[in-house]
Amino acid sequence: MTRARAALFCLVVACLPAPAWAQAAPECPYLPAFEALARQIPSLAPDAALTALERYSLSNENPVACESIEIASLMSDQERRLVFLKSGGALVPAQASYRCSRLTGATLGCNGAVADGTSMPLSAGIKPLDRPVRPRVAIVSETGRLTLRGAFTISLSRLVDGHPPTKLPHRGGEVATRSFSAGSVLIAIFKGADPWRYRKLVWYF
Amino acid sequence: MPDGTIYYVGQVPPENWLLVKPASGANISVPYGLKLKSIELRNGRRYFEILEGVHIGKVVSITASGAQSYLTTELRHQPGGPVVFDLAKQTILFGGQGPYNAFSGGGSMGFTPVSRGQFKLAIPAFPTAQTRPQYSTWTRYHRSWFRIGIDVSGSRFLHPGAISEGCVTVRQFIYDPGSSTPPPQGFGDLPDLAANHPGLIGLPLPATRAATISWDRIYDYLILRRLDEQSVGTLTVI
Repeated sequence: MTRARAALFCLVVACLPAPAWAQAAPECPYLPAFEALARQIPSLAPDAALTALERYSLSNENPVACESIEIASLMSDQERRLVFLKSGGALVPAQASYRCSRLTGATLGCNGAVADGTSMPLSAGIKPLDRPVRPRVAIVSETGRLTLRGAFTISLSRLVDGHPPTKLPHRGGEVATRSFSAGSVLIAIFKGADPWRYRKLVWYF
Repeated sequence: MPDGTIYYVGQVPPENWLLVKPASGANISVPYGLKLKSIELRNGRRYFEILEGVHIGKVVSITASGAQSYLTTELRHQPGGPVVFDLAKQTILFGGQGPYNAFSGGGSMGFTPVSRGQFKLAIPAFPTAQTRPQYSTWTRYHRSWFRIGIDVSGSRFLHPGAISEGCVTVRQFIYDPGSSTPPPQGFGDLPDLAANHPGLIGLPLPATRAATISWDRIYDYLILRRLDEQSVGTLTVI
């Protein structure tokens, strides 16, 4: 390789900073098709990005799991941006999202490509929200791919020891805010399409 | 790979999790050292029954080339490993090594430190996302956590980190808000936590501070150990 070519290679391939998605697992042997897709994701609307990621997951298989972990993270980021807590005129995106094939027992554990981390918001850098001041809030999905199946609440202290959350009565996704104490969690369970039959969207107070 | 042969998940760099396809549902990840029994080779895929851990009894498959690359018969489990955690001293010992720095967070947001007693440490079940890429400065295996107790509904773990939401957390660095050293990159929330939720980052620090240890050392000690088909050893909290 000539010095000029080597410099060009360095400029194009080796010397550019890794994109944000690649910093998660810098040594992960991503498939070339995933690298191409991951570069497109920021330019896509959340729903389109999710469709593209799901299609990729169903038609590609990288046995090195770091790629599927990264895909789960990208899917979670996109899905959070499609489900909101509506309080008055404010729309608050979900703070965490997990997808799984089945819910584990009464605790509604949603373990999939990654573990359900609902009980550990701070480790993931998530800060609790101020409790809503209006008497009712609504869980609003901006995607037709998900159907709300239930709303639940539980304190973090009970969640960490595996107690089941309490089901909240809701009408059209509307729930009473008196259910939320400081240190509690609002969990919305959605039904989706196979193989990720369930989604767990979470807000912290 | 003859049918009926026992295999183990081998090393899968960089994080030691192997992606496999179950008969139904989305793909799952299985950890280094997990024991499998070969069932058959069909349509270019090798099928296995999982013999231990949270997915015990499930039939999964992997491409024949993936099986060739990442499964091995050349692996032996060792007896379960004892780990001892001292709540007050904020120390951990494992296999006669230590003390090293660890703590259990509580006293804020309803979180309580882990209870005293003896618990099984579960074989890692799923990679965790409750971590930060910056932990790779200290450890490759920060996505592999050992659940304290084998009940899958519990959410207390032995894990590496700087923030502890009721877990036993092995510090990868010591953040002392009383010193002039800022937190490492990626941990800009620690000063806020120190001010508002000090117990969740293990403050106040004990007068005598044990040395930190890379999570990789504890992972390497535990990951191939087995107490039974669900656990790698015991955690004694004193």
